[in-house]
Amino acid sequence: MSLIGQGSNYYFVIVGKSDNPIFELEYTTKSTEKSSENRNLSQFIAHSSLDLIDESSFSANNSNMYLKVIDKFNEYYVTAFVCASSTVKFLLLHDANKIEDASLRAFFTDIYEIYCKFTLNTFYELHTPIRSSVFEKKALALAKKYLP
Amino acid sequence: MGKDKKPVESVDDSTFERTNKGSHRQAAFYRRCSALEAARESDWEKCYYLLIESLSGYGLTLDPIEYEKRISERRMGWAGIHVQVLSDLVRSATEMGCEQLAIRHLSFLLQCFCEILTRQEKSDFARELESLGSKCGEGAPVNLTLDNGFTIPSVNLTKFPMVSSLKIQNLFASLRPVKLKPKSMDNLIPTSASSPFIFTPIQMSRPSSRRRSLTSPAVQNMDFKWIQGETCQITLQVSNYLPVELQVNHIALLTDGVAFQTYPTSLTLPAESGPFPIQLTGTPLNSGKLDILGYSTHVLGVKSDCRWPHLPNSSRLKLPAKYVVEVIPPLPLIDISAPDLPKSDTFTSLTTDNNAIMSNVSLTIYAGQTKTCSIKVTNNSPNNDVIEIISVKMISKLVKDIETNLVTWNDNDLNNCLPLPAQSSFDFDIKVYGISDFLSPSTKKRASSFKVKSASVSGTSSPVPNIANITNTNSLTGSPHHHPSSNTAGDSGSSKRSHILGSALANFLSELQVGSSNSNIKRKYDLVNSINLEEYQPRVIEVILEFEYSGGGGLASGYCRRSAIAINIEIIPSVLITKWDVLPAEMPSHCYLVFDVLNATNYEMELNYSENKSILIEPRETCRIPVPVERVPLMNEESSLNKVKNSKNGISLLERCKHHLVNQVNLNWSLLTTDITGVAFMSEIPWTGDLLDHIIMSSVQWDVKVNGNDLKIEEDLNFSIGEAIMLTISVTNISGNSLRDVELWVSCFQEQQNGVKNYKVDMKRSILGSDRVYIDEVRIECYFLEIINNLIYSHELGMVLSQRVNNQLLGLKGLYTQLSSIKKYLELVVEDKLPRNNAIIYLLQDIFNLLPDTMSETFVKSVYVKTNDQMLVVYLASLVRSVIALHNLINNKITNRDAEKKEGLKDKNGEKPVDSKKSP
Repeated sequence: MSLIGQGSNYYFVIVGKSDNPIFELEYTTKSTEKSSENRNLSQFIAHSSLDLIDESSFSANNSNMYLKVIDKFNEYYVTAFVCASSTVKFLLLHDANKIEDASLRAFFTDIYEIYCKFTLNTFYELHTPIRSSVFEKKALALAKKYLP
Repeated sequence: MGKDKKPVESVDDSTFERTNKGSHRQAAFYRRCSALEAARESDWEKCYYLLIESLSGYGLTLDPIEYEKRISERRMGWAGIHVQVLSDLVRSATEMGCEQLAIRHLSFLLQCFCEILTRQEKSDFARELESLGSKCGEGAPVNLTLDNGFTIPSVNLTKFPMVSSLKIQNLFASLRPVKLKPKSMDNLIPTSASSPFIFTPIQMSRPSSRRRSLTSPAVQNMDFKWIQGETCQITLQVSNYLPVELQVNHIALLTDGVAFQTYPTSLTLPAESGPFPIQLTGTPLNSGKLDILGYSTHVLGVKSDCRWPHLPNSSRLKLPAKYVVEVIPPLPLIDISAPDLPKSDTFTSLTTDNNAIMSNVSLTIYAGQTKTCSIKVTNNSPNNDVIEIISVKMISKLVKDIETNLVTWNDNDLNNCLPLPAQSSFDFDIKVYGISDFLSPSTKKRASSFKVKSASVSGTSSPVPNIANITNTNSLTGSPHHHPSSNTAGDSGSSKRSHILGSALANFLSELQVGSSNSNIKRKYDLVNSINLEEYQPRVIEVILEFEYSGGGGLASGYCRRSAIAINIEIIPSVLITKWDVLPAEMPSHCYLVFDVLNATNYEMELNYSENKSILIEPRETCRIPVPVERVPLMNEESSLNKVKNSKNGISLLERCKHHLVNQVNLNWSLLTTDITGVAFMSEIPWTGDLLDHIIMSSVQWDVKVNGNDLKIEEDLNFSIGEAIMLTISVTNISGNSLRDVELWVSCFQEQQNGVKNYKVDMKRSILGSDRVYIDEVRIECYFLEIINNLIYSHELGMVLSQRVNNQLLGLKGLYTQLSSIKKYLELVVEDKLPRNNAIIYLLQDIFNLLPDTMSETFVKSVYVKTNDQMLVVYLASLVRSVIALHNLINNKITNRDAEKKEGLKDKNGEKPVDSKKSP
């Protein structure tokens, strides 16, 4: 989506072991309503950038979990965060031009925290979709907090 | 795709090169981008091929089986992307005019992403699939190969409809083949007929192995067989989870092996409904092994071959790769009916899977009645098979030998009708006999109390010949019968006395009994007044007649079929025996069985109970009938064996007794207003020990003489009080064996007029001599005294109906007899003619030890003192007496003198009174 008007679109996804989405969250600060094609495209972009995440998390001697912006497709920036097991990845697609790196890092860190808490649930099996409304609310609150 | 409006300016050759570095996902992304670009230029073919190439990058396979496998391994990938890519594929395939491909992709989409798709999507895709199918015809379930060599595997819509259960049906019980067994086996092991399947052991081991490997087993052999030419069934439960109405056309079985004609069915399942049962049917056209691989359907315009392992529930349902059913050559089929019997509504409780009841009929019969009914057997074989063998078997809950009485038939009738060509029939007669024990239920309950009462009737009651230890004290009536217990007694005539003596001494003081009055044998029966209604309740017996038959090719391969007819036989009680007893007859070899017979029917009954003797019984009335029978003869071998096992013999004795009596007693009854006749048997009467004794002929013959005259039964003998009666009892062993441990005694009772017998007659009669004779009364291992056959053994004893007057005289006589007996016995022992019996010697010792010692000084003195005391009393008494007499005499004298004086004074003054004095 082109940058018309104020605000920006965000697409956050947690990807599991077999490239399967565990949790998806769309968040926009734009006044115009989002369309479903947007989501499809975001999925494809996120999927293709998984290659780059693997590359950067393994090849580079990068000890950070937060990988900063790893890919750019048209106006979309892809920032990523790799969990400790490195099989679960957090991806954030956004078309916001001016966003501070620190707030993105804080966003990922907080998401990671609630994700870790969620996985402590004995009844949750790893790499399966998260269908918790509480988790979703918390994630949305974090998005509101950090993403302008 | 085009709708994505994706900017594609960055797509160039350089980006493709990145794919070679192993970045599949990125490569797929760019391929897709270029595909969309091609689509925008309406180059659909290029678009399609680019999309196909991008599939691997997205981790998507087009093989539904492979896809399911990945799902189970949790390698499902990004489902949302997959759905998008697939719908793009469908669109491009449609646009390039290749509907087959479009159908294939669409059906894959529906089949594999069924759970992910929303309702709306599902119904959209389903409709699209249907319209595509109608446009280009049905797709065949074969692999499609693209120009570039890419193969698209076939997609079978196994989820539409969804099979939730599956059962391969055995044939109907009446059609089912059964392994034919040799005749002898069939009779010996009727129970094994229920499991004639040769696969049983394999079947047993299967479940465990299947549990071990969750993946389904390769082959499952069914434990039953199908028959060539018979329609066979598989039942499925199917559900439709699609939000659209599902039109299932042409659903049929997929088979292999034997030629199999399938009968496809079609059905329509409403949206999101189920489960519905459907039957897949077919007919095997040959014999052999039939593999059932799955089923084929035409759903949503797609032709699918659904094989068992590929069904979505296959692991849960534990479906094998194939089911194997053995098909055997054709067999004939019969129909059984009983035209003259009414149909029964109740179903038999004997029904199991293995007997096929073709019809239920009911039959009402009186107990003891015999009815013949015919059963019609028709050969209904669809394939014109001839019945070559047929046999009948009866199944019921009864004991085997009772069962055989109930229903009888002639096997020759059956065999004469063979072979039976198709469409023909024959009638087959069976005879039904109303079995019953003819005992009223209340009688059976009271049996224990009743036997005590009836036991007191006896005739020339004989001792228990075989059961020597049972001796019966209370079974004698007023006439002086004895239970002689015959016995292995001594070996010579002289020995008897010694035995009498021994026992007599032992009982000498303790058993004093007074004579009893004679009276006629009269038995009081307390009639059964309260007859419960339950006695009239009919008894219902369920019987299944099972026909086993075969013919044609099936017979050659050793199979047959079974079909059965269930008969509910209602047995109405006719004659009920409420009481029974045994009375002696005039001859010792005969006795009378006395029955109280109840007519339990609603009709007047004529009962013929012995030759030329019959009686009319009103409905619900009881009559008493005597039936003369011969007594049961002795059985020699038995009596010799029975000393060890009394209880066992008691049973076998009863059996023998029953057997003997059954042949003699025939109670033929006929209901007068109807033509119904029947026979009642009394074989079930539980003869108790005492009655049994009367029925069985005694092993001991014995004669009783009263005062030297033969005693006649039923004869009244009158004696006055105090008169002595001499009873002479002689016992003869007529059995072939010697008897041991025999005891003979007399007991008396007084019969009061109300039927009560008083056995406490000790004060009313006395017995001189012993009332009891033991013969070898003490058993010592080394002494076996035996009665030689036909030896006459007699015992004399006297009885007194006494006042005290004669007691002393007779007592002294008796003492004399006893003493001389002792003397004789001791003499014999001394002479070694008799063995020494220590017990007797001890008793004699006791006697002599108790005798007073007349030589003792103290004894003599005390006798003197006693005598002096007595004499003193006598002396004093006579002295007093004479003094008193003297006084009386003097007083008399004085009185007389005074009187004379007065007379003298009145008459003559000069006359002097006369004095008369008496000296003491």
